[in-house]
Amino acid sequence: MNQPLLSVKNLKTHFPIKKKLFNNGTHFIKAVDGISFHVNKGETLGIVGESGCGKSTMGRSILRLIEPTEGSIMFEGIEVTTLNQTDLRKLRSKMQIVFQDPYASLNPKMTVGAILGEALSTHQLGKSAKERKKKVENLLLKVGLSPTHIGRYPHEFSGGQRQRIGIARAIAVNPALIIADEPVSALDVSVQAQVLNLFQDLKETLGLTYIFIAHDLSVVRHVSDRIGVMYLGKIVELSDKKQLFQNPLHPYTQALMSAVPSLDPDIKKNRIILTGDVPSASNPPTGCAFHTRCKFRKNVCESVNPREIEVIPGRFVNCHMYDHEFREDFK
Amino acid sequence: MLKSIEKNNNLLFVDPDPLDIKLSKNSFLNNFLNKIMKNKGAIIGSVILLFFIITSALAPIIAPYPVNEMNFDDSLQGPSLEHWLGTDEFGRDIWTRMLYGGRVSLLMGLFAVTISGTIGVTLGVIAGYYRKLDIYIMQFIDILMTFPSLLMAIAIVAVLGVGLTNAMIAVAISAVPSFVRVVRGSVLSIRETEYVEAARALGVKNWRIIGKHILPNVISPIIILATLEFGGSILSAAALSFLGLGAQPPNPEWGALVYVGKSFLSQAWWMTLFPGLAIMLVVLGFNLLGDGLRDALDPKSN
Repeated sequence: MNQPLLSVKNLKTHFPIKKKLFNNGTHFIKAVDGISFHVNKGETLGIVGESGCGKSTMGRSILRLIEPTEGSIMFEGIEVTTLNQTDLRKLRSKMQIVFQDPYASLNPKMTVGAILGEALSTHQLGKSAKERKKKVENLLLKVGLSPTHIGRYPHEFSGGQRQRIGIARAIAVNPALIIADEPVSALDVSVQAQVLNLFQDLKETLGLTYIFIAHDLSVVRHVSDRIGVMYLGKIVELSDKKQLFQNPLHPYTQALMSAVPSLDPDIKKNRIILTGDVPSASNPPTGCAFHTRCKFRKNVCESVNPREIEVIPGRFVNCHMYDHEFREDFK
Repeated sequence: MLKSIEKNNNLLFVDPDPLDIKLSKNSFLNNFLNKIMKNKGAIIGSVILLFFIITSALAPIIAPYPVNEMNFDDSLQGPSLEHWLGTDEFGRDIWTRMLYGGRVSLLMGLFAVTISGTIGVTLGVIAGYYRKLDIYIMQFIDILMTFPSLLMAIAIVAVLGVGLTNAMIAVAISAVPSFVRVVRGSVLSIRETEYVEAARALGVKNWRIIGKHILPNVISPIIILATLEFGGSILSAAALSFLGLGAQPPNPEWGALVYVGKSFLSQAWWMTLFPGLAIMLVVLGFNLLGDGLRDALDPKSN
């Protein structure tokens, strides 16, 4: 098997809170707390999880837009976490990000041409202004906009069009990996589908690899090859898309899947309603983070941190139920 | 939902709310001018300011008498047709002296705002963008802010010595903290936006992010503050001159005119009233214009 494009090992991003005078930042929000996964070239890894579980922080940590606290990020055989600013800047053209809110991700004082031109000139793509303009026009065509839009300002576009500009900016520098941070959740459903299809088209024509962050399961199902389910800063289940939807293993995944509406009214669903709130990331529960809301909870869950268990090759779950060691507890 | 759309995968892109109305290129400027024209305060302020700027600029042409020529026969005359605003104790025409004084006062305001604005914006951007330097800059600014600005200006003049230039520097320095605070606050909010994050994700260098993404988006509060500070600086400069620390006689600065007139307050009210009125009107004009600009530049007001 060839080397994965990106492999993340034990990534942690903690934010210090409550800096008191004599108690200097001993308290942390563990936004991302030990995540490991890999992404192969040309595939799409979907990341789902509810609000505040650390999906976006994880995406930004991989790009080092937020400095990770611990762990290793290998991208094309390069360790990203230890790169200095100059080397990191060079590597940035290889990893790009598409943001959630197309209204906040474009500078209102810059024209579309200037926004895309900046991406090009930062990485010395296109020698002259004329050549860059040509490239910008090509980019606009690629994402389904017209080259005549080049002199317009972001406020003259609709949400879907703005997101296309955001995508154009990301692909302008010929990246290998694009982290899409909930790129469609701010859009109307009809526009969502168009933008998702644009992602698919670009993936095929440009040979891109995606990490697709979302909280909408149907969206993730549509675009992903593999899916990671996040809960409170950890990936609790990582699996092939098909297996995950057919046979979710982790109790949290099961609850998520039961919430997906079905088109067939005859199918009676056993909806698993989670009770209680998501625990605070600053004070996560001991043992398994999910035990406070889990209906299969046993004593062991409250004290022991679950291991990552490879149930079948390529399918990981962090739950004691599937651990041989604790088989007795779940009888 | 998605499945049905999946089948029609080859649908052409149809935007649900097309915005293909031909917007004029300067829609922002047009919008801004429209709002300003509707704001009565801003119009009145601009008219007042234009009056003083034009009369000061044309002082050598429209002044009826030489500025420093004494004429003891006409000393302490009240307003009349010959001397519109009366004369001072040496028989000098107050209207003439006010015209020339306006040049000094307005220029002092201009220089003070330029200097304090440049220093303040630079420090504010650094403090807001480079978070590690923030605490040092802001603590220094906080120390400056503990002094009332006039008191600090007096202290600075005391150190540098009495005179117009030093008074101007003193006024400029005492106006720096407000610029730093306003700019830092705006930069703090802009640097966290996604378009700045996108620029960082692209590997755009810091100074380019500041120049292209941050400064253009904090320019509105800077313009508003500069307008308001303009009036404040003229007032501070006049106060310094009134205390005898700024413009020195026979230099006809407005504050200095009030200062001279105060000794003759019981005999010649016109010597203090008219320069004082000029100071008040100019400061009022700048404040009205500043408020108008604030409303017009606020994207939320429509």
